[in-house]
Amino acid sequence: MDWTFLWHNFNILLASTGQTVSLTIATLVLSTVLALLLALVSMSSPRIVRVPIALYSWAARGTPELIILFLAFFGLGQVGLRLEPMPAAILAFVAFSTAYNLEIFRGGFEGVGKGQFDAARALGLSYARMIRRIILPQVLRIIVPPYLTNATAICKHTSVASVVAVAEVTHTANLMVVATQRPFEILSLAAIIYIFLNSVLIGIQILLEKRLSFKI
Amino acid sequence: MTTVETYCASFEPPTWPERPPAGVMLELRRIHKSFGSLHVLHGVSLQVNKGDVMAIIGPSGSGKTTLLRCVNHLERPDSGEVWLDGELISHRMSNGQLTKAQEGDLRRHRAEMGMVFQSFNLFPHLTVLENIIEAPMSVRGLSRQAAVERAHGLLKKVGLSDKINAFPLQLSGGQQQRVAIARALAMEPKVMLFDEPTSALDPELVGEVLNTMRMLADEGMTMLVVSHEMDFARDVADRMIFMDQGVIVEEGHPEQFLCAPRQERTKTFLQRILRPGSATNGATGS
Repeated sequence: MDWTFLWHNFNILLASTGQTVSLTIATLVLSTVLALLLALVSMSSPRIVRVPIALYSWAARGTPELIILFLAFFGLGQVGLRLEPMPAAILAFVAFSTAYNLEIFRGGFEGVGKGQFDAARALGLSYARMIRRIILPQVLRIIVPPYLTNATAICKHTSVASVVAVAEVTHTANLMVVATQRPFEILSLAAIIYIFLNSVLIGIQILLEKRLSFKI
Repeated sequence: MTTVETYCASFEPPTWPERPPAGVMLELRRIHKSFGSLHVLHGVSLQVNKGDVMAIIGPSGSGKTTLLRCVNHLERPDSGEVWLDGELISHRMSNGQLTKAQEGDLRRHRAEMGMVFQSFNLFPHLTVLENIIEAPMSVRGLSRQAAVERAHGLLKKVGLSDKINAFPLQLSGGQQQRVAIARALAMEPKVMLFDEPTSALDPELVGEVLNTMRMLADEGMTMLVVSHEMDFARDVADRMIFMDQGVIVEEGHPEQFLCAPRQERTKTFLQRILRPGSATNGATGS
């Protein structure tokens, strides 16, 4: 085992981890906000609003991430909207992650009993107060496992961005494989970085599950 | 000639619905409610005087719960009026027209009516104290200190002072329901609506909740109670109503009602739920 080789290349890979992390965080934050809004809107809207949202979710979940990314990068470029690799990747990842998060939130809201809404309304709470103080905390408790599982999936999906030359971990690893001709070591190092990043997310999940569980 | 009359008639003020007499706390007039093709309430009217307890009984699916939910507009009636303490809450008058009340007005009126549910519906992520002070603070604008003080008083009243920092799921069903009553009382409501408050309880826990309700009635709280607790109804209620298929079949004083029902349907229902040995706990609700 050539430790100097490993250490040297590990440091290079580590430098590209920032791109993976930014891509993951940007996607997570934007898709979470959008999904929450869409879930709230479709919960309290007539069919004419609900149906388009459902259609979007259906289409976004049914299309491969790679196709969505190509659409955002090459497709939009063809119609005159040329995006840099990073913005195109964020747009594509938000487009499909929002659909998954939307389904997770919808399940969460449905998991909170109708009686909770009744009780909050009967007390005269405003809609905003009811959602914020009564409903969302209970939704959070329900969605922590699927939401963070999806977050780890998003983190791994960012490797797809390598095909449009976003300089994240997988892209850098590929370049290094070509340069060194030692794919086994390089790709193993990349895997270790992904495992470490996702361990953080899984750790957060365990912590949140403990904190949010109802006291019995 | 006719045209002129029609023209003049259009200037006449519309006829406002007449205000209920002063002693009436709650009045429903011709309430209709359908869910899709299911016509649940067929023009129900009733009056509850200030300080009175009215018990509503009836078989499953007779519309009792829907009626109660129409009172505080958790369900909007399709038509009909709801008057609370001399104020028309189901409608508003604007530009000389009677239109259905808007959500903001309804919210204000809901806060004046306490509601206790069959399944308690306490907020499981909040402590007993937080459950009670949430609405007084955010709806009534009470300071935290004042709300906490009020909560202390109410918990003492329902006998749960030691549970103030407990979470709902740490309590028994009877304790949860008493907290739910305290939570509703914290808004200092004009009327309390009880929707089968003991139907989800183990038999040995029913008594503590009924005692709390009895105490409220003694203090002069106006109450509308959907329940199958016949002993409670006989002892506490001032009036009793039997509902079936979305209409009020019979109304009367509990004593007369239970001993000498006038309607055949009431007799049949009472016989069914007052079977020997099941006098207090004979039926479950809708």
